[in-house]
Amino acid sequence: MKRWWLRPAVRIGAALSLPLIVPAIITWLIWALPGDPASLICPPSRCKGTEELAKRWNLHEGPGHYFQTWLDGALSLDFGRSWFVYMGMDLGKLLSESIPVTLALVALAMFWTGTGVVGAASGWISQRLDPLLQTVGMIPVLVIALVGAAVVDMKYGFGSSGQEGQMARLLIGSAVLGLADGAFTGAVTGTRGLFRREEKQRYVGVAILRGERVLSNTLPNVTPALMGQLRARMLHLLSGAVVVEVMLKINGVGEMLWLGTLEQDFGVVLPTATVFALASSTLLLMQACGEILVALHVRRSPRVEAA
Amino acid sequence: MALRRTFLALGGLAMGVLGTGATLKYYEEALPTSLNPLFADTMVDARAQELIFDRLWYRDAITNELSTRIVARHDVAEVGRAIKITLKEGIQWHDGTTMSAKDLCFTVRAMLDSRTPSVVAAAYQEFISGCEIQGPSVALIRFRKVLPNPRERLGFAILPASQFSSTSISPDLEFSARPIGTGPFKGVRARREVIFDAFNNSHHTPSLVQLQLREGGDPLLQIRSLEGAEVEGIIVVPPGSRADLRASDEVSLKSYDLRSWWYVAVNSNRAALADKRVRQALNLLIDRNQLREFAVGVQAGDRNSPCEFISGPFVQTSPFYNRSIPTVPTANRAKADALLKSAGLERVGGRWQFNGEPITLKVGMQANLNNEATDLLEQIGNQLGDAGFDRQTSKVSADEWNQEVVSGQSDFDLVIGKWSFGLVDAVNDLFHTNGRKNIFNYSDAATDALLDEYENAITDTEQKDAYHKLHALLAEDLPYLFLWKLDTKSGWRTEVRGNIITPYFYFTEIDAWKAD
Amino acid sequence: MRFALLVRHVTVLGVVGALAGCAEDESKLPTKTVRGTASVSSNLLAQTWPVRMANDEARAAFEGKGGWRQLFIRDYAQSLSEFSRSGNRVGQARVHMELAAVYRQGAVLAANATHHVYGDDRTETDPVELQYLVGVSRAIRGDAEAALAAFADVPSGASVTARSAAWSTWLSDNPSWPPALEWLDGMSGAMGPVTVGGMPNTPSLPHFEFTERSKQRAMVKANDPTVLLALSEWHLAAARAADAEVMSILPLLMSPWRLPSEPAPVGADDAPAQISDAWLFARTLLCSEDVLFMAAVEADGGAAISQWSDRSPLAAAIAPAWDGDRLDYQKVLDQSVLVMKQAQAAMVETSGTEAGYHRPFAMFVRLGVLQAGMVVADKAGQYRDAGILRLEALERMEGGKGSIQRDPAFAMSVAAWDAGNRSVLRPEDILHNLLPDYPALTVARPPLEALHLRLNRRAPPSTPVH
Repeated sequence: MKRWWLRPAVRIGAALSLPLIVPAIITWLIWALPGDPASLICPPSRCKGTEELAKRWNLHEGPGHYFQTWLDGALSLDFGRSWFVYMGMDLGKLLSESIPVTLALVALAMFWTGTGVVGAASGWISQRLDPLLQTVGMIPVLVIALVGAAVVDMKYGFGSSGQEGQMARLLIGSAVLGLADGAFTGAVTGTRGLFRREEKQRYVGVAILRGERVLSNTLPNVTPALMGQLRARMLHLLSGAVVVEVMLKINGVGEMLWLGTLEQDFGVVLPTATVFALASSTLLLMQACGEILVALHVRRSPRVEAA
Repeated sequence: MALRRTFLALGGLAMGVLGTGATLKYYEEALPTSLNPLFADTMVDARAQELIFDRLWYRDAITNELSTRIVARHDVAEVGRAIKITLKEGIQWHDGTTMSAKDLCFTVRAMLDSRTPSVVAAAYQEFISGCEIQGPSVALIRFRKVLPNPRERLGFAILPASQFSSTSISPDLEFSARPIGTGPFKGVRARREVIFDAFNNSHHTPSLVQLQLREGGDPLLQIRSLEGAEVEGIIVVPPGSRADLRASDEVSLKSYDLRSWWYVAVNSNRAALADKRVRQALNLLIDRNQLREFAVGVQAGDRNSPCEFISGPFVQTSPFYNRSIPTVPTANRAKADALLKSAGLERVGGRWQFNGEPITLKVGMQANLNNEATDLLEQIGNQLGDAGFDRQTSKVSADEWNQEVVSGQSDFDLVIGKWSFGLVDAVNDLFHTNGRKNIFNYSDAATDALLDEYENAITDTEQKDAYHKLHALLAEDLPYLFLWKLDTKSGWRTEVRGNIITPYFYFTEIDAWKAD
Repeated sequence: MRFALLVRHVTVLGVVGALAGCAEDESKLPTKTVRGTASVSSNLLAQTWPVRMANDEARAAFEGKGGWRQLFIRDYAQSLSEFSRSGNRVGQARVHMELAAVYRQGAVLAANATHHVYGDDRTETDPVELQYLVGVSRAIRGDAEAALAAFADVPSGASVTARSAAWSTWLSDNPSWPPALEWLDGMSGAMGPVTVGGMPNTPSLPHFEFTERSKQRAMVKANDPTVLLALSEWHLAAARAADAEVMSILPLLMSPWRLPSEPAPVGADDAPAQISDAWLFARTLLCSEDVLFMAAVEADGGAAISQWSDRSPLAAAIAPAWDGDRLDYQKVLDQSVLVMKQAQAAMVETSGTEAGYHRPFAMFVRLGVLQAGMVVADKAGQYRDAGILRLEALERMEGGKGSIQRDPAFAMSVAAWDAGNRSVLRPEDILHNLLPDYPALTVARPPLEALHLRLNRRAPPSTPVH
């Protein structure tokens, strides 16, 4: 195909614009929703400081001014402070503590997913296990997360919020994310299906006759689809991370986003939503890069040895 | 200079940390919303702030003597319209700087600044007019009228001027999470806990090294943690667990003098609920005996019950309680139905309808109250359901409660909550049209008139009479369905010694607390 | 480091599910070390009624017997009724004495509250007739001179003028307390003849309504604390009538509850060698020697401790906390727990096995130590430390599983003490809880509420919090 670069280009475009579009939409929502945050904390009927508060939060000159000010701060990594949820706490510091936690959660969950992908691709995970895996996969995230939370609370008591308790929550959370709601099962069956379909192609049969390995032949062709699946799974894990963090009280970005949204603390919602947007952008970029590399690999002229 | 202050601050902290004291871990009802004493919205806030700040004057927990830790001398001035305060020398802030008259006057000015959105400050604005610095440690606080015993009125905490850029103090400043005080502990709020590190000062020598506050979750787990010595204390022990702790040799149950009463606030701006007869009917549909038995574990007729019904906005022991107004311990379905019909409601297929529309009541409850009254929300929901109302129940987080419910911006029909008072059980802010804590923006001219009568009363008896009339009025108009008062008990392991609990403020005597 | 932690927690995770269902490992529960000095010998402990009554025979007279059972749970009305039915004169005398104690402390509560609100904190709008009540209160508080001054402020022609004159006369003519029952009866309205097993009549309330000297002229309801004094004396007379032998020990037994105006009992040496269990059962004075020890403390202060520590269990218990000058209240707290545990162990030894009544009985030992320490601290001028012990003792009388019901006389004494400190919340709660059983205590309510109202206006402003 001559315009192979089109898809990666679209992905790169989306990746670059997502971190700007998401906060812009949220800013629009702040003005679209009834009431305003300054009035929530200081209702004019009872409190005389509403205007002052609105000025401090840059809410007094419309969404454009608010967005611009926020963006300027964000670019210098100053995300301000929480308005309600973590009142007075520096959001930059909170994010710097929370982002690694969410990344660790998702990465550990990816371990399960990755195991499923590799196992399915290599054939270690037999197809005979599929019914069992599907049964396990039917258990919703919520149920396992609640059980996990109860176990940690009972085991660690007061210390369940401390370092050890948080580590236990992280491990349980990653297992929950990686196994429940069909995450692991989907990785296994999806990968296996992908490879099985590819293996039926004629060129694979020819390669086998030539004494070549199946994987080395099919992998370049399934890679874009695999990456697409991977990106979808990671997005699934990222969105699931919000639920898992809330259920298991893990100190990640997902919980911040949840609480901020619930309590209209837009000081928290903006940066956390932007973090998720950045994560999505990163995945898009990775997929785009993968597609470019595969396309280049596929289009390079094969070296022919001199007779 | 900055280096010296840093060393002083570190020194204070180090002396606290290296002391021979222990770390105390305890469960609270919730995390504090703010550590800034100007924004004490919850009892959790008040208790946490007591560890970090010094109030100008306070009452001794045992002898009730009016005492101070920071005032060296005071003189009534300007024929009772001012008080001249000389602060003690050498008291340090947690950042190493020295407290001075500048800080005292800054605090007063911040409270008087109309841009500071503080309900606490608003109360002081009514009688304080200003502050003048007369020396490094001397300040003159002026009043709007003659106060015979001004020390008794000046119970506010001092804030450090150096931490703020102006007297307009906002609750979202860093100070709310990392405050600087002169109290025995320096507090820092983290995501799931608050850590208080001891800070030795010229006027505080805490024996404990550190306190760790976390939100208590499931009551059973809290009790298990306490009995298993994973924590040293629980501030609010659920009533159902008190009997077992009482019989324990490891744990001491201690009274915490706090006047709290529970209620169901009714949104009288909503459809059918705007009619007083509907509210009266709801009051008759709630079976308080049953609620108390299932949610709190107290049976009708129990001797010296910690949970006593009320018929108005005061506890029965308050002088403002009108004893001629009876409580409603049991439901009266027939009378309630008659009231609902007279209000124009129709019963269709067993469900009540208003103007042809089925009524669905949106009921919320402050989430942490479930620890004290298990499943109260569900119980009330069930009673309303049995009576023919559809309902949606939900628990409300502490933050949402503060931000929306108390400020009159929620969309519930009914909310279940608890108000706590100290010595002063003034309720004007709850029911006045301009009340700062008027849930659902209740407004009634007769109520406002009585509340104004209370405010303007010349004598104590006139005040009492005004509130007695208010009690009678509110018992009929029912902006709240008044439930009960519930005694508060704390549980502390016996390894914690000298743990005197101050009424309302709790930790005033924390210096004497020790733990093995 | 984090990897090691990770590995460790993978292992933890692997067994966490199994652990969740496992029973608690008992060996991990903390073992408690009881602090204190074992200063009370087993002989001394054996003297105490809780340990003696671990013997079935010694306990038989009290166990399950209606009157004593009701007395133990502080249902005095029912107890008196049961004793009357069974003709137990000593039991009747005992209940009358307890009731006398409750009303006596009620009078102190009313007096303390009135003294503060209409005496020290008097305002120009207060009805001037209230000075009569101030006078009575000051008389109860032992300040005859100030009482006479207050009576002198009562205007002529007021509803209380005659009473005021009567009190003035009595105070001027009678230096020793208490006033005679006949005189009190005349002042407070006919209570009826003293009847063993009966109850006195109480006048309807409020006794007075006075008009404030303000524009609104609001009405102030007030009650005469003399009534509470009269009730107390009535019950004491009934106690004497029920059991003549109590005459010699009644001053000693009533000593903890005497009015500030009453002197400490003298002549401990005249007391009988043995005070019977009928007067000790369910009290925190654990044996005759303890009663005498406490009388000695009233006379000599802490010096009595060394004199009595070989005879009185309470003296021996608090001896380690006394250094000759000061009492260490923390040590008293520790001793109270230790001696309670020793008593429990002694009871097990006596009875041969653990029993359900051991803990409640042993609680009296603990309370006895606390209250003994409280009195010693008070005498040594350690007001605050005495307060700590006082409040701890009240706290321990919580009722319910493993504990005992509140002694109403002691509770009222704490309420009175609080009112003396201008503290109102706890006394209001105490009074409120006792009113169903002792309706006449309502006399004390108005001044307490008035004090609350006055303090309310002077307190720092506050708003309700959730």
